[in-house]
Amino acid sequence: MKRIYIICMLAGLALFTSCHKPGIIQVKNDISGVKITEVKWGNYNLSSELLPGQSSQKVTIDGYSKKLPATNKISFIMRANSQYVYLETTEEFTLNEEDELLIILNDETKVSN
Amino acid sequence: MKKIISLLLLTFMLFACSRQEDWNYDPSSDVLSDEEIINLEEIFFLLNVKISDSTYLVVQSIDSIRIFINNTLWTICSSESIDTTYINKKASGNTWYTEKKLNYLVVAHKNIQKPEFATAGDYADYLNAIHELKPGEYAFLIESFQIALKDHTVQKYYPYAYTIINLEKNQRNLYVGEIEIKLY
Repeated sequence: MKRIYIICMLAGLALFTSCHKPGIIQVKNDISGVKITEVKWGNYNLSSELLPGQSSQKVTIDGYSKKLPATNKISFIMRANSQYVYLETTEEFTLNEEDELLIILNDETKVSN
Repeated sequence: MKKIISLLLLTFMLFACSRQEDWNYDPSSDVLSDEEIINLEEIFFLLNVKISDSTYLVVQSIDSIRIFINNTLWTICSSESIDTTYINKKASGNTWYTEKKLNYLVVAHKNIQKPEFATAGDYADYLNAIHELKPGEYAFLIESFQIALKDHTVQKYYPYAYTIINLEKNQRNLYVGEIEIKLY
């Protein structure tokens, strides 16, 4: 009886984890001459600050707190010359289970305020 | 029921109005600054154009004046218009001239190119263009200007007239003084 219980528990756990595989997301700042701060994918913080040419760390979005696939915009604050402006991409980026998504923000990236 | 419909209509109108404002979007209203610094926005000076040792050019205005601070384009502007009918002037070839010194007032507002603000690069260019001139001395250059002659043809000149300006902290505008340009 105890064995069946343990098997059921393990099977349940396996089923549970198999339904929530994580995805990895990374962002790179290729925008000329500006740094970007408070970089987020939806509500997920990707980086607090990225200098021109710098990439964020790979951030794992586990399947528990966010059901994957999920689609979000990238939002950030662009800073130069002591001035700053809040921007978000018009494009949405989809992260699938077991995906490794690299988002490159460059001069051509469409944004809105 | 009527109240609800009126309320809905009012809400709709309110939203319709705010959508219209999007057409006049000015990103500068969304750009904030870390520092409480007043930047230089306006430079003004008096310009007179000599066509001989003792005569000055008479035109309605001096146009397309290209002004640089150090090596950065500050603006392209025109002088304030004057009414030349009140000036005691004489004709010489295709120009009018006077023997009394004639100054043209030029108020040169800083020109920041406003792109379409569709891409991150547009915003980056905009933020980088809001360059702040720190207190100190700068080279002020009138690179070129153009004038309309008597026959309404336009003549462009490249005087490359330099002067030094001294900018103090938190100075919003600056009087450069009188600048004399010789076209002979």
